[in-house]
Amino acid sequence: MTGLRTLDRAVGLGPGDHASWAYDDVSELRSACLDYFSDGLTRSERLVYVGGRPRDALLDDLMGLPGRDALLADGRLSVHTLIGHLENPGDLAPRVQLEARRAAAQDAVAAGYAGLRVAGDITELVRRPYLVDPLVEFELAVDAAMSTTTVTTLCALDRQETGERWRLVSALHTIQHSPGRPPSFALRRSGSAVTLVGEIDIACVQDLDGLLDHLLRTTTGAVTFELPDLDFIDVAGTRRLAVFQRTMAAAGRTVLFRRLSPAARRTFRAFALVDANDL
Amino acid sequence: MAKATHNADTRAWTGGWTGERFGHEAFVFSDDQAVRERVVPFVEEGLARGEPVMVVADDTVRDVLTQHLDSRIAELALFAPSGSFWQGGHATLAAYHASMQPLLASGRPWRIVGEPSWLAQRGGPAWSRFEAVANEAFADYPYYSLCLHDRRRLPADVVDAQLRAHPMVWDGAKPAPSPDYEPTDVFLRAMEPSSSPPEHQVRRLVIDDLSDGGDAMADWMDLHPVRSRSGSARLAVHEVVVNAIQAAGRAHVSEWHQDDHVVWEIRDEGPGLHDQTAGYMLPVHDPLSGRGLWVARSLADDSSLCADGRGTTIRLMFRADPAS
Repeated sequence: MTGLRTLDRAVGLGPGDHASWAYDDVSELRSACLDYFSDGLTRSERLVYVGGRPRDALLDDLMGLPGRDALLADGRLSVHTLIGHLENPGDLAPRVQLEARRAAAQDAVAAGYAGLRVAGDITELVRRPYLVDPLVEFELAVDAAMSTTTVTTLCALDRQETGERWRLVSALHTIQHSPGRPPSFALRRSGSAVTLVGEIDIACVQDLDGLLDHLLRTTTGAVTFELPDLDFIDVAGTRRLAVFQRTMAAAGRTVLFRRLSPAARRTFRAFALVDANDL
Repeated sequence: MAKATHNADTRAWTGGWTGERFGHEAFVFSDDQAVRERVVPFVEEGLARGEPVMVVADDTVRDVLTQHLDSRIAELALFAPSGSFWQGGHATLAAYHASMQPLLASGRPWRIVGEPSWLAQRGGPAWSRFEAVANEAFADYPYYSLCLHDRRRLPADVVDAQLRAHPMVWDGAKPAPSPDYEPTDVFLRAMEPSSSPPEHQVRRLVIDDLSDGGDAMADWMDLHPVRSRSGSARLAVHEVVVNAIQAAGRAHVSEWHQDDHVVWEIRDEGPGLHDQTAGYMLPVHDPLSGRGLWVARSLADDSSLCADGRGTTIRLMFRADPAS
């Protein structure tokens, strides 16, 4: 995966993919679920649907899926509600969730399926401020953890219910669906390396700020930004990265920038930010 | 040529310069003897006073100094050909500024012999505007810059512009106020490109929303003629539009072709950006703010700024690709 990819329909996703699906109406979510899980059936994958609404409501989302009840009955499809866990952040700890995801993927393969296909309606998590940190941590970790597995992941969120926070969460996915508000950028993390892809300008610096703040609070040691696929960044976006570097330096931590794209080089020189590879 | 008397206790070769503020002299010459008589004592005086002396010049001047100083050439803090320094006006001035920071930190005065031979190159004459900006930006820096201009190599109008941008010239015996000198803002207004847009074939766009203004503008801009630098043109216009919307709530963008350039004009109706030097140099004292206009102007082949009671108008000119 290199750049930022826009998703018009929830089709064509495969193992290792991790996409976001922003919707304004539940009918858009249901349409996406139908496409997404139908693809999974074609690929002989086990299907998991999880969300923060009651299980019956989640089942309703899958009404259009051919053979839904039979799929549920033979264990190929499972539907889980997070109600009961939303008030207990410990239940949703990133490590616990990642391990559960990994185990579920292994079970699926052991049971003869080609892989595991998960759709999660994370709206209820994004709505709760105390769950945003663990959610962001999970989203940051899932790419690296699942990139070499047979897991496909779709994270859906209702823009009407989550306010502007949907943008921050959406920016944790390099495959995005956001009608009317085209995806701008995505941030990925692998160890101490952070990758920024897409376009960062003054319209999305608050989202970038939120993610940088998360990195500041939840990581230790040096952070290295890898920027070969950053297609556009303006002065406002670059200023945020410069401020982040200064803030980290004040805490005794190093921020490096590597493999600057031509777009990054245009603005970085104005802040004396350099490519560590050039040093 | 009359000669000043060398005295290590005074700075005879820098006139009334006290070593506390910026001294900026244009020395125009037409033969090697003249440059020898001006540069050699200037350098010797600096070395005698223990001042760091830097020389960035073409072969003629460096040969003169090499012959005169011989092994003492190593006493110069810098001795380099000027050709390697030109990176375009903005980057050159930024590098120049950065190179002076250790000297500034030392608290001692220093002196420079500079020969901006790039004035003869395409785009080079714009350097006179950066020389003018230096008068303001480095006013408190304790150094003397002796700028050499060889009439044999430079067009007359380029030399004339240098005389208007430097507060001092050599009067044959000593540095003296330049009779042609113009205050920086006056000089910049006179020297920046000033042509008007054509009556026809001007495309216009009004942007007042930053949330999707970038996308709307990028889609609207005709970047095909400058496709080899489309990313630079998009960013440059974006930055000025952002400034305009922040200053006035709305940006009026126009686009037209002029000779072999594409011109983007961004006009706002705000209070007016009245610092004519804005965007020529990165802010000296603020490491984070005020960079958008610098980026925009540095990416363009040329630019102009006009502020009046009705707002601010900035034009960015990009040379079209040869095949377009």
